[in-house]
Amino acid sequence: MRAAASSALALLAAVASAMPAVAEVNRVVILKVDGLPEDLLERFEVADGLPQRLPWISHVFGRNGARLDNFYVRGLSLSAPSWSLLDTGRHLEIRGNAEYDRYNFRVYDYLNFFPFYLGSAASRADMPGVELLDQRGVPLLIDRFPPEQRYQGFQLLQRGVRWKTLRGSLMSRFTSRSLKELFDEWQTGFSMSSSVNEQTERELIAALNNPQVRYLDYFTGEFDHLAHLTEDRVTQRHALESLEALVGRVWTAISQSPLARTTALVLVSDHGMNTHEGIYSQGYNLVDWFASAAGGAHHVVTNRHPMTEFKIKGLYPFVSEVVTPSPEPAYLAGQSARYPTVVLDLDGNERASIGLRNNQLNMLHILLDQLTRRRLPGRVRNAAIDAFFEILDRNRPAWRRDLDELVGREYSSYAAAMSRLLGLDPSDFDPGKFKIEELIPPRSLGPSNSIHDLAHYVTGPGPNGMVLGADGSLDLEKSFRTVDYFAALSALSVRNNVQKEVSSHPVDFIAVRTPTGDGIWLWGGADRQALILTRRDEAGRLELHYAPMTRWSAGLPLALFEDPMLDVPPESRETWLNQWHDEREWFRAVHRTRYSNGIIGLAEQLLDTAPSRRTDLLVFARDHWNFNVRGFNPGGNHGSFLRASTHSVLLAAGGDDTGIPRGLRIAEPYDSLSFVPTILALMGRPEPELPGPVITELLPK
Amino acid sequence: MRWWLVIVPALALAAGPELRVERREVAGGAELLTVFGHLPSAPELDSSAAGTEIPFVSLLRDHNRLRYVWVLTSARPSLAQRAAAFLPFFYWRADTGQNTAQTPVPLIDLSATSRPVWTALAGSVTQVMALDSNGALIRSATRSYRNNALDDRRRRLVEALAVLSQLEDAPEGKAVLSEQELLEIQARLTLAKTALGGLVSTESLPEAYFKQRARTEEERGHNWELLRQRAEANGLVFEPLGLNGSYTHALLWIARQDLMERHWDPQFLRIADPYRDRRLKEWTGYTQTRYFDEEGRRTDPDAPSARKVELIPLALYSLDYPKVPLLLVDFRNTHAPRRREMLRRAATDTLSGVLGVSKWGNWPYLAGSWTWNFVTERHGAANNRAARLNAYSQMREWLAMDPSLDSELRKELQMRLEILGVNPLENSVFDEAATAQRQYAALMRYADDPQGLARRLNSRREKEPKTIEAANAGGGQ
Repeated sequence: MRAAASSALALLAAVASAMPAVAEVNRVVILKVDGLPEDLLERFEVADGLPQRLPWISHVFGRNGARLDNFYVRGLSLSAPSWSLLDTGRHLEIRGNAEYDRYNFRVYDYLNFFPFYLGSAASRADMPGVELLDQRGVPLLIDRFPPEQRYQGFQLLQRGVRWKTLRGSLMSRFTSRSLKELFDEWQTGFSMSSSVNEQTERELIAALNNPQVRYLDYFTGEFDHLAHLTEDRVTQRHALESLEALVGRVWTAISQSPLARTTALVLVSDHGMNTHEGIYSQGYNLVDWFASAAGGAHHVVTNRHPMTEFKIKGLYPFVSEVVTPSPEPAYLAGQSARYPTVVLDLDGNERASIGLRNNQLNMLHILLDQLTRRRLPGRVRNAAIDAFFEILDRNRPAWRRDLDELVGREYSSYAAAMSRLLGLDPSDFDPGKFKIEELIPPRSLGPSNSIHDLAHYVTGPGPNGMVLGADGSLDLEKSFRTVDYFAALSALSVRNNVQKEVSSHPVDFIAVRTPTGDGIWLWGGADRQALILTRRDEAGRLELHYAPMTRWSAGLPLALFEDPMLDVPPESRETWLNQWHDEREWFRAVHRTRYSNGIIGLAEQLLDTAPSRRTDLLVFARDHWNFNVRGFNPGGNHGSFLRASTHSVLLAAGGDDTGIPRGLRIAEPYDSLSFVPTILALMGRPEPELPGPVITELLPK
Repeated sequence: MRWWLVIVPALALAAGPELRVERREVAGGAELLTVFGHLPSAPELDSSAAGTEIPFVSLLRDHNRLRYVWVLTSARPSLAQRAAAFLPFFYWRADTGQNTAQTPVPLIDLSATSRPVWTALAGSVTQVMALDSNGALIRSATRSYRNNALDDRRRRLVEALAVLSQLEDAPEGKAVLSEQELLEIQARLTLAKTALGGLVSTESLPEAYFKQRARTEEERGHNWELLRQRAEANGLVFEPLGLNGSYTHALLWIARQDLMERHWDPQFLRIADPYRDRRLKEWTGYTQTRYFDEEGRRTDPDAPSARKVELIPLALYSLDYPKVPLLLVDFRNTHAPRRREMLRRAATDTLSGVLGVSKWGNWPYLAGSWTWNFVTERHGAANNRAARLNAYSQMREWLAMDPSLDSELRKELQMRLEILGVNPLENSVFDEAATAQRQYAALMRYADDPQGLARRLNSRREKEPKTIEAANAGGGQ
């Protein structure tokens, strides 16, 4: 009897140890792969008719884990904003790889590691993106874990410097290889990044053996870097095989670690990549265009040197602001350092964020320039002064409000000049008493432009200078040269069209925030315009409405109406599209279309933006076009809402006790806002206040 | 790592030149694989060659072991060629005929790639220790010869690579050579172009192949885009060319109707301003008439809205050069690329040959030379002699094999490219077809002769265990 009872107890114990009482994830290991597109992974893994091509990925995430077939970046498909969504689970605070403060040209250069490491010797502890998030009170996923419980690899949103890893990677470059291997590597080409990756991997695997560590991540930008440079499938596949081997090594290390049964392994990418074998991505140089007379003869600010590789100064790693002077300036000759009038963020390349100096400031600047430096005839002079004050008075209330909202010493020189400008009185105005820079703030774009301003943007005095109208007042139309940026940008075209898949027009469409701040105006051409309107329902959920300016037809921006992948029957499309829908309804309907979740991404990108980091125009490149000027990215690009660029990867697998489903493919679409809440829910630390839905399919049943 | 699987998809790319691989048994179980192709050469230059099948390269495979590679389009240099190669500052091709009927010498033994490295090192040591100290005449003559011989070997390696890389995409290639073999051949030929590349171990070949492939593909894409943008900025017509969907070179044209005053920025193009060039206004040389649609795409003459444009060729660039497209043919200044090449060589030969100044024994020269090269290359100068030779040699092969080129244009390009030949050991591209036929016949005789290839092979096999033991002991191949 006793023997039978003890046998039964032993059996029960065995069963109990084999089956988890409660599914739990005590540790998460996240492999962050920059720019890995889901369709490429799928194609390389399955579609080439060579099964077992990526056996570790198939084994770990296919048979023993779950994969999302429809995981997308929310907002622009750019690294800095995309990782910020994945690392915080909050709405966008970072809206580009680089951002500029409109009022003082401060550059938020989120991708530049060099100033971070140099600054770390003094005071800076975190990457610029993390510092900004800290200022805005937005915690990272890693912040949920005390320092002794986490291991963080090198990445864009990095907390703290990793000198030890860098030192270790240098040392182990030589100590981890035989002399013969070192010789072979010397002959075939050394790679510093691979040393850092190897060292990070070594440290990660070592940390797995420490049961105290509950959060580990590893970041690799190798695929993204390579895919920008070449579309060669063999080369890209080789990069994927390296990733595949990494998955194998990490999975094996997890299996041998003390928390193997409760460890989850997650592989996630921040965005996709628009890369196609046999098609080179073509660049269009917007810096040169804006600097040319046709583009407005601006002095142009970028965060890196155009054609960096061909300049000695391009080697300087701490650069964050470069001014390209206009070769044919209309009124700012020799003043490129003081008065750049356009800032471009071209990083990511399938889109350009463009900030233009306030158009009203342009007019005031030109009038002041005419009044102080030209000998205008008396009547013209009086009319110019009248026009000056008319413009100033029209803008005074808004500019005063704007000025009141600017707090901080960094805005003092802008505020001083604007205060002097706003304090001018026509009764005792003598232009000769002032220097222009005392009234028109140098190195500043000022408040953002209205849509009307962008369509009638003043770029210089008219061909005949200041011209009077019949009534004796200044004829503003004739006195100023203007550019309609919507028409001009969409009319850009190239002569050489040698790839049949690529259009001769580099610009796809332009998006601009409406003055009310709750809508977005889309311009694809004079007959291709639409509005995206937003509102909140009673529960506070975002609802969106897409309204064509004329009628529904093919060719509108985002191409929803004609897209065969729009998940709405053709007969009811117009009705459905004319209605308001919440985000989830839109997401389910549009995620497989050519522009995937673009409608949601545009709202995320352009609404609720900080005024100081607001851009005027968001210009999207056509398929296989890019706006890179730093160098060349013929291999592929991202940044747009094209599905190839937004479709990302999310794969998860776990030990026996994690309860993560095995062999599951999830068809329901999710975006990057779901990543953090899902990881936290898996780890039994749900945070319902996070805005993104949890991917419930990944949770234990 | 299943690296050999990785190159399979490349085989599915678009077709290039038609290649055929002939297999021939050699005594002792080895087989000789010869790659044949068609040279779409200009008939008026070499009527015997036009349209006929040409043997380009032969490979000996000995029981799954790759051994010798022969490039049949060139033969052993004649005595006169060798003598000319000794002459300092003699930068002309010595068209005195080659020993085309003699048994060809293997370009490389793929199973013993370290041997040429040691031979070259021994040559360098002899040069420095024994020859350089014997006065300027001997120093410059011997250095000239060694440089010419080295360049000639590099050229033939590039030619072999150009042909064998095409096998990746040819059905015949798939049938006779495995992906591993193709990868090994390409990696070995690439590594053999560098001084110590022959010492790289077999295990590192896949990595070497993928790194080289990535570099090449990146260079081509980069230069394609750079040249397209420069053409666009200067109002020129850009035409990329290449085989199997990979662009290796590009032509720039100008439309006759565009010949009027406009801004010209020559950066990276290295050709004279075509808008202020009288020669173009009165151009009677080669032109092409093409038709473009409203989108700027080439179209048929009878297509609606087809626009007729008469194009004048300006220049041909290689896209296989680091960082910048390399100008190889300038239609208006045919001798300009050659003059530049001669000047560069003369400067080097004067310093190292005549004056006996060596970078390694003279640090101010080393520092100055490094700084000069760094600064000028940073601005797009083509200072890399080996890479220039690489680009030039490749271009000769691509042009010879590309069936899509208009024959008259090919003739124009080949004639101009011939002018770039500055090595006395090199043969004319127009003699290649005849040379190849004779060399092939000689090789076949050698293969059939029991005292020929079979004997050499046996002797090689007998030495094999020692070689393997040496390799195991850490001595490379």
